[in-house]
Amino acid sequence: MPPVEPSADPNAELMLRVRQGDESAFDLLVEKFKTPVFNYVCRTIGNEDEAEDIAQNVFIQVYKSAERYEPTAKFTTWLFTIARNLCLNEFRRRKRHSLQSLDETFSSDPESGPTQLADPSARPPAVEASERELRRHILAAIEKLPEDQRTAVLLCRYEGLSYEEVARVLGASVAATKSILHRARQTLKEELHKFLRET
Amino acid sequence: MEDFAMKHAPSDWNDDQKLWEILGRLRPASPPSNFAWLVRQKLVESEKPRRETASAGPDAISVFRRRTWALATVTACLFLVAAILQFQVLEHRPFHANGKMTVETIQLAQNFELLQDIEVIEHLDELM
Repeated sequence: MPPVEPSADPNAELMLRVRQGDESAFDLLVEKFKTPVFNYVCRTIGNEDEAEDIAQNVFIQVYKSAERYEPTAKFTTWLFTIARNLCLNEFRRRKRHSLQSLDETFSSDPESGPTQLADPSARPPAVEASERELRRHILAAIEKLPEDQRTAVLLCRYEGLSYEEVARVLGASVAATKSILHRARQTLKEELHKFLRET
Repeated sequence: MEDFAMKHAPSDWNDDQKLWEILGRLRPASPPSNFAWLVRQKLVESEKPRRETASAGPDAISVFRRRTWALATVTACLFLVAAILQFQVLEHRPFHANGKMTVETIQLAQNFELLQDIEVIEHLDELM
């Protein structure tokens, strides 16, 4: 794959500055991507405290790998590949130590799960309760997906990655990624059919 | 990163536009406000052991290598001194002069034996 021109990807340009020892460029990257990375890890791991730790480690890894960084792909692809690998490591660690299962770590109550951003528009309690119920179901539905499908949905729907970029993160072909996403959509539609009818 | 719900669905999601919209209702989780500071702290902590090791002096391997080199140097010097002694100082010792003094030494020894014999003879004289 031809290298990505840093000018075409401002984040790759920032990363090249980090490689040259520019600490302020690293701070900018952390500031810019802390929410997307935290979100992805949080939805994948399902535990906010562990997600915070892993998300921090993602940036530590970014900093430590800066010397070897080559802009062969978009920076976000590289960033989320690191994030996914650290999440997979966490799953392996859990498996080894027979800690809580993934099912147990996901909370069925979204209010006790990852911190939600405050809703800027105050709504009536009934509407708010209905929204909470919907969010709970969405989280539960995403939780039920196998890891590759979950990653594909999270990166495609919430982080705005293209199919090509998601494919790179998953280490799969674009055709395989489309198939993964198709299966994920079928599962999500089944899980959320009640809400799909209502809207 | 743009807002979750604002993203456009890929073209092949046309049939699943509703699903796309519903998924967008899940609001993003928010990292703690001191997240960047925590990353910086963690980075400093992870760099610390490396720095401490570097400032704590040479490790066992480098000490071993230095000692080996020092030992090799000392041994080489000793050999050099021994060689100098062998070829320069000891060259002038009597028994290295073409065997001449070696003969003298033998004669000396023989004389010594002779003297002892003479002594015995003298004693014999006395006895007689």
